[in-house]
Amino acid sequence: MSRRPRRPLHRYSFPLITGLFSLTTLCAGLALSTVPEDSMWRFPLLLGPIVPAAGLVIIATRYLLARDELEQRVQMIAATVSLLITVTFTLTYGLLESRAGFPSLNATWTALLILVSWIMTGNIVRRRYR
Amino acid sequence: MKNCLKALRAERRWTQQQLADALGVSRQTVNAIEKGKFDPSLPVAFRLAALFACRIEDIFSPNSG
Repeated sequence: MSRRPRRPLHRYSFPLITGLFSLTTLCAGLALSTVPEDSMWRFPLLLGPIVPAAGLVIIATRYLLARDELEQRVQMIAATVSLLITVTFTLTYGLLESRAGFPSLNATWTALLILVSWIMTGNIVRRRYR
Repeated sequence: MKNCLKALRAERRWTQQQLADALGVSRQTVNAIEKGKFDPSLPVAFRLAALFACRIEDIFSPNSG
């Protein structure tokens, strides 16, 4: 009665590419400390982790497209809510930073905020359909 | 939308997982459809109708109707 085989869940490629991204980021950070400030090698070193990051985007997109319609709806709602949370937070904090003298935050926190809010919203929305 | 998917599935003694595999969706999706929490797309509705050898409107009906 089976209609079609399930597509692979990217069980290995996702942790592999995440590990590769972490490793290139770590290596770039270590190598940067040995390269002089005015060296032209700083840019390729800094941009090196973008290659595995692009792979991460491709794998994540393929993973989402392979999900069934309910999971795709869950992810779409989660992504939208996550975007709205991030916009609200960054706008509010931007105002606090410029007008109230709050400390400047590194932009990498925005990526973390998107990921955390996406995962949390996804779990909440998924519970609605149980 | 209301539906009689659970009854149809029970008649054939299929598990949610078996039906999900036949439809090409997850078990969670079949469960959500049965509970009326999720309305499937037209392609899935047509596959359901074909599986149970009936029309879509024999399985699904509007809440108001």
